[in-house]
Parts: sequence; structure tokens; C-alpha cells
Amino acid sequence: MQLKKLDSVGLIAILFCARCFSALTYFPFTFSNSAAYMLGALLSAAIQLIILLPAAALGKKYAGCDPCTLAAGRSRTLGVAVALAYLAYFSFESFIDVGNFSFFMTNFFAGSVMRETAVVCFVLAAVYLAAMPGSTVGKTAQYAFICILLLIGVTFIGAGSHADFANFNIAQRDMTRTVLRAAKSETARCECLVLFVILMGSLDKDRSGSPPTHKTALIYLLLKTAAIEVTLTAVTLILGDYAFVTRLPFFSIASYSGSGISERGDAVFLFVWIFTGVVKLGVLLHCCAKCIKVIAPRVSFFRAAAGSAALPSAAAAAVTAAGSWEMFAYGEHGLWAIILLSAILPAFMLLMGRKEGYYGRAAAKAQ
Amino acid sequence: MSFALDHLNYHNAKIAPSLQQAVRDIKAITANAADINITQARISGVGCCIVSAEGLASSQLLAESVFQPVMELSPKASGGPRELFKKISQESLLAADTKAAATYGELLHYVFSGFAAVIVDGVPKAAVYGVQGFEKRAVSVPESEQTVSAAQDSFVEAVRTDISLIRRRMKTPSLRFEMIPVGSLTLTDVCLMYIEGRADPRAVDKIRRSLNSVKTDTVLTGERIQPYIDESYRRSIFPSVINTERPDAACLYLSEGRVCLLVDGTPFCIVIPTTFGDNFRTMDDLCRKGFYSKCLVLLRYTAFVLAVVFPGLYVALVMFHPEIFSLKLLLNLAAAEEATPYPLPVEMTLLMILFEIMREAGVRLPKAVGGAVSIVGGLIIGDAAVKSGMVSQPLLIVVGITATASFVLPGLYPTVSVLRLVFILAGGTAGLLGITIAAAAVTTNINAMNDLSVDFTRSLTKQTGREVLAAEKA
Repeated sequence: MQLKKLDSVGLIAILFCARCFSALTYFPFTFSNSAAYMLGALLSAAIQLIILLPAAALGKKYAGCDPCTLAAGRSRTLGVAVALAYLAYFSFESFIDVGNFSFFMTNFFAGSVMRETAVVCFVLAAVYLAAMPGSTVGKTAQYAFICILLLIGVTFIGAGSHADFANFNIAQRDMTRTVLRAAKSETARCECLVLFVILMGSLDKDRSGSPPTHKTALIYLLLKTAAIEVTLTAVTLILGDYAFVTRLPFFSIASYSGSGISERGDAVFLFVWIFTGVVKLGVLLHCCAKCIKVIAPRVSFFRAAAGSAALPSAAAAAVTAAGSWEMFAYGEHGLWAIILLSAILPAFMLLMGRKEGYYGRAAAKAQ
Repeated sequence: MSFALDHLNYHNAKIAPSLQQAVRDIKAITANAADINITQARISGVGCCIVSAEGLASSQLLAESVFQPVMELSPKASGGPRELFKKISQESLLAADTKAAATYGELLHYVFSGFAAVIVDGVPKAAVYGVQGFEKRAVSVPESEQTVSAAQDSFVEAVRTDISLIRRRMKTPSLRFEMIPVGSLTLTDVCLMYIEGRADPRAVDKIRRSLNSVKTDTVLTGERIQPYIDESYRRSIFPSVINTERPDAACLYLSEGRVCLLVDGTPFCIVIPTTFGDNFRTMDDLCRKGFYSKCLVLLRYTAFVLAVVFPGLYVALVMFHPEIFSLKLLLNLAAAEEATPYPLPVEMTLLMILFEIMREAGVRLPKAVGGAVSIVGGLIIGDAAVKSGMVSQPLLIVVGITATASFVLPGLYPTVSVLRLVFILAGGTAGLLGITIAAAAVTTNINAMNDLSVDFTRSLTKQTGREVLAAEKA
């Protein structure tokens, strides 16, 4: 096993953390029927599997490569264009991530910490993580993954006494349309698919000699869907359907979750939420840095990671300070970007094939 | 010799064939040092001298093994100086360790290592014999790594004795010892140990080159060479080497393919590469059943988390997240903290610093007055401080638990004591936000270490299921 390469478990943990940070923060509050959303989530999982097929095939066929490096191998212009597309997406997601952290941290958690200080510390920790090799990011994500599982377990066990199965209902006017809308909404929140496309280039080979991209994608989707379904079930059982129209529904459950040792579990939630947020932002900046390295190979990885954090963080801090964050946070964004970057571009590069041009060798060497 | 020799230019200067010139050169290089003994004699009509260092060479061994046999040789020796030199260096068993020195640098290195050197007039070489007899500490019980069921011997300052403690336990010819002198002034012997076929040859070669590139002139402890062999010395707060004073632990690490270094003058062995999990193992784990050893390892991990995070977490929860406590506990904590004059982070930091001062005093004080530190620390500072309202009782309990937990892992104590203060600062400033970000940064730092191509977070003793089955079938 190569030391700096990402293993399958690490990649799954990274993607899981990225998705869970969004899930722990809020659900799309245009849905007030959790049964419909759960069915939509199942449908979305099938759609995501199809979306990832070309990317997984690309990763298996061209080990160690992602669409950016493959495009750069064909020509510098194509490589820069593809890298810019991914960079723009990851920068936007970083903006959302920092903004969500700043908004919810200030409005819902410890009010005595200055917003700017909190954001700076958060971003610096993420930059430190982003500047590390993929294996380090993966291992850190594994610890966050364990923390998430513990949080889910502890919270649900603690709040289980409040569960009421009668909270489930299928009283929805147009169920089919709602389920389809839920599938679309759930897929639009899956930036983890785009992360998979870029990070599969760092995936280590298994015993067969090729990266286990298909297996990794399948296990991740199963795990994520299970976690989403369990979370939706628990929120509905304990708080009811209308919890989804509130902010931070999972946090609300944690507030109910008491045990013999602690009165409430929201401090535990806060710990896991911030840790997961650091990992997610770190991964996004890590991917930004990979794109920057394709565009400008001579820039050091640390500088690329730090530079990619500057603009999104500043923008997010400005928007949250102006009180306009909810417009970005709760707006649906990114479905066509996800399809383009996770399915269409990888399929295009799979058809184009690999060409070891001068620039391709330079880009591969720089990475 | 066309130029005068001194302590700066003697290293590669060849020994003069003329005995008198050689004696003059040695006296010039050492500036007539009071501990250098030069005994001149004639053997078979040939002038000879025996050079030794007072206190380093054993007088008894010198007399029995060198003087007497050499003097008895006198009537029987025939031929010129070369024949005589050949007789005493190759054809006589004057000592178990016999070597030849061609330069003054080699000669003085051996003499200062306890050898006796015999120079024969007309021969530009010296025969050196291992007759070491310097004072050294006897093998004793380990002070910093005590165990209940495992061996009770430890390394000493003399590297040759330490080598014998290893060799006695590992009777395999695959065990390699390489002596590398390090430090231009001290020329300290560093013994590189590894098992051929188990240790990674590239790692061994890299360590060998690192030792040969040590630029410091004085090497008195293993810590002086650590920046050269530890790749992440400046990048990480955790050490990627382990210092052990136990020969049995060193043998265990050698059997796992690690490389060990013994530094002459230090009763510790440096082990590289290491993993994070190595800090939580003791030799007692090998003396008990697996399930109990695993429980103890978990206990040590818990102690580590308590030692590092507990004070900061307490400060963060009490100050920023009191809702997590049950009502009864919260009322007690509130009453206790209400009575104290200082903010909680200040109290915690002051108590931690006070504890470190008392610990340092306990280490430095003579044993006779060591008990006074316990009385001062426990009764006067602890009890009186609480009764006077300077600090709260819950705080003292937290400090006590933290201090006890940190002593479970003596090898990580420096790291733990620094990290503890970082977490107190983080928790006192930003609550759980600070604790989480500090924890994320520390976790990243640990995960990023991979010296000598070994993942720091992986257990080197962990085998996959297939490997275990294959070993059982073999």
C-alpha cells in the first residue's frame, strides 16, 4: 500500500462526513412529509448509482487519474477548462460550508464567541487538513465517521423514550410528485458525488491491481442511504413531520437526548457537527488545491489549499455579517452542476481516453 | 613529521615509526594530559611503550593481560621490531578484543575507550587491547518503565554492557550491531542494531546515513541525534521515536523489524520507526492473557484522553455548555465556582502550572527531602487553597484525575503536558468550538506522520486474518 494514497475506507469516510455535515445541519424544509422524503431518498440513491457509473469506470480504467489530469494530458486548454469547472464548484461549496458554519454557530450555539474568530479558526483548521496528503484526510475522516455513528447511537438511545410511531403518515396530496421532488432535492444536496470523482484519482489499488472504485461507490451509497433513512426515521418518530421545516432538526433531537450522565446531548452534537464541518471543508479545499495544481503546477500544494480558502471564506463572512445567509443556505442549488461534473464530464473523458502529452506528464508529475 | 601535531590536526596523521617521536606526538596532541599513562620498556632489545588512560583501562587486566605476557615474551622473541609486533598483535592472545591502529586518531579513540595501546619502535602501527575497567553503574531496575511481571533489568550508560543485555536475549546471528562514532568532539559510540531480514534495508541505510551526517560536535544524550533521525521532529508534537530503558522491550521492537540505537553514556535505547500505538504498550501485556491486555490498552488510551482533554473539556462545559450537566451536579459546580475569585480558565491554568512545578521539584530534589514536596503539595497547597476559597474542590478533583492519568504514559508526558495547556486555552476561549478544532488539528497531526514509510497510526504488530491463518498453518 502506498503511504500517501487514500484507501477505500478513508474515501468512504470522507464522502460520508461531507454528506452528514449537510444532513446534520438542515433538511430541505419544503417537505413536511418524511415518508415521502424517505422514499425519495431511496430513489435518489438509485439515481446516484447511475450517475457514478461513468466516474467509477474512469477511475478503474485509468488508475491514479481524475478528469482534470486526463483532460490536462490531452491539452493544456482542455485541462485548464475542466479544472476550472471543478474548482468553481468546490469553491462555491466551500462558500456554502463556511457560511453555514458561521450562520448556525452564531445564531444557535455559543453566542459569546465572535463570529470572525470562529470562522478564522474553523477555516485555518480546514486548511491545515487540506494541505495534507489524501491518506491523512481519509484517516481524519474515519475518526469523524466514528464520532457520527456514536452521536447517532447515543442521541437516538437517549431520546428513544419520546418516540411515537404514529408520527409516520402518508397523508400527502400528490405522493408520486412529492417523491420525485424529494429525489431531485436529495440528489441536489449530494456534492459528495463530485468529491468522489476527484478523489478517486488518489485511491490506492487493491489486490487485483486496480482501484476498487465500483465497490467503494456502492458501499458508500448504501451506507449513506442507510444513515439518511435512519436519521429521517428517528427525527420523525421523536419530533414528528414538521420538525423538517425547522432549522437543525437533528440538534433538536440531541436536546431531548438525556441519559444518566448528561442532561442534554446538544454539546455532543456540537462537537460532532464542528468536527464533521472541518473535515468537509478540508476535503473541499483539498480538491480545490488539486484543481489549482493542474492549472498552475508550480504552486505548492499548501499555497494552493490556503489560497482556495481565502475567497470563499471572505465572501461567506461578508454575506453572513450582512444577514443574508438564509437566501443561500435554503436555496436549492447544484443538481445540474452535480450531473455535469459527476456523470457527463467523466463519461466524456472515458470516451476520449488518455493521452500522455507533454502537459499531461508535467501535470501528473506535479501531482 | 614535518609539522607539529596538536589536538586539531591529529586525526589522520600516521603513527611515527620512531618510538620517541610517537611518544612526543602523543604528548603534544594530549598536551601532557594527566590521565594518559605512557609506560616505556624494552622487549627483546626493542623499545616499546604502552599507552593507556587512567581510570578507563583496568589496572589489573593491564598488568595480567598485557604487561606480564609482554614481559614474558622478551627472552623468546626474536627477529626485529616487525616480528615482535606480529607476535604481540597476531600470535598472542593478550585480550579478547584486539585491533590495530594506524593513525593517532584511531589510537587515541581506542585509548579513550579504555583500550591499551602497544607501540613498537620501528613499526608505524599500534596494537590495541580491550582491557576496559572504567567505573560503570550496575544493571538495575528500570526507573521509568516499571512492570509487575516482566524482567527487572535496564540499560546502563556503558554501551558494551547494553549490547550484552540484548545479545543474551536474542541468540541469533541475524542480529546486527554497527558502531558509528558521532560528534566531532565527543566521538560518542552509537550502536545501530537491527535484525537482518526483518528490518527494512532502506530504513537501516537511511538511519546509517543520518548518523553519519550528524553535524553537532557534542553528543551526550540520545536527544541530540533525534533531529537527524526523526523526519517529523519539527513537524509534529508527537515523537516518532521511542526511548526505552528496557532490554526486553528493545528486543521486542527488534523482532518486529524496527531499528534500535544505543548511545554510549545514555541508559536509553532509541527505537525507530514507531507508531502511535507503541506508546500504549508495556511488557506486562505480554505476560497476561490477551483479553486483559486489550482492556489495559483501552484503559491507557482512556488515560491519554483524560490527561489531554479533560481539563479543557471541563472548562468548556462549565463555562459555555452547562446545560449538559444534570441539575444536582450543576448546582454543586455553580456553588463551588461562585465562591472562587478567578475565572475558571485562569484557575485551571494556575493549578496545572503549580502541579508541573511540584512535579519538577519532586524529580530534582534529593530523595531525603522528597517527602516534603508531597506534604507541601498535598496538604498545604491543596487543602489550604480549597479552604481559603482560592480554588474550587471540583477543580482540584479534575487536576488530580488529570495528573494521575498523565503518569500512566511516562513516554508521552512532555507532549501531554503541552497539549493539555493548549486544550485549556482552547476550551476557555471558545468552548466546545475550541476543543473540537484543537482535537481536529491534533488528529490531523497524528495522521500525517509517516517516518521511514511507516504509517504512524497503524499497529506494526497487527496482522490480517489471512496472515494469522497462514502462520498457524505453517
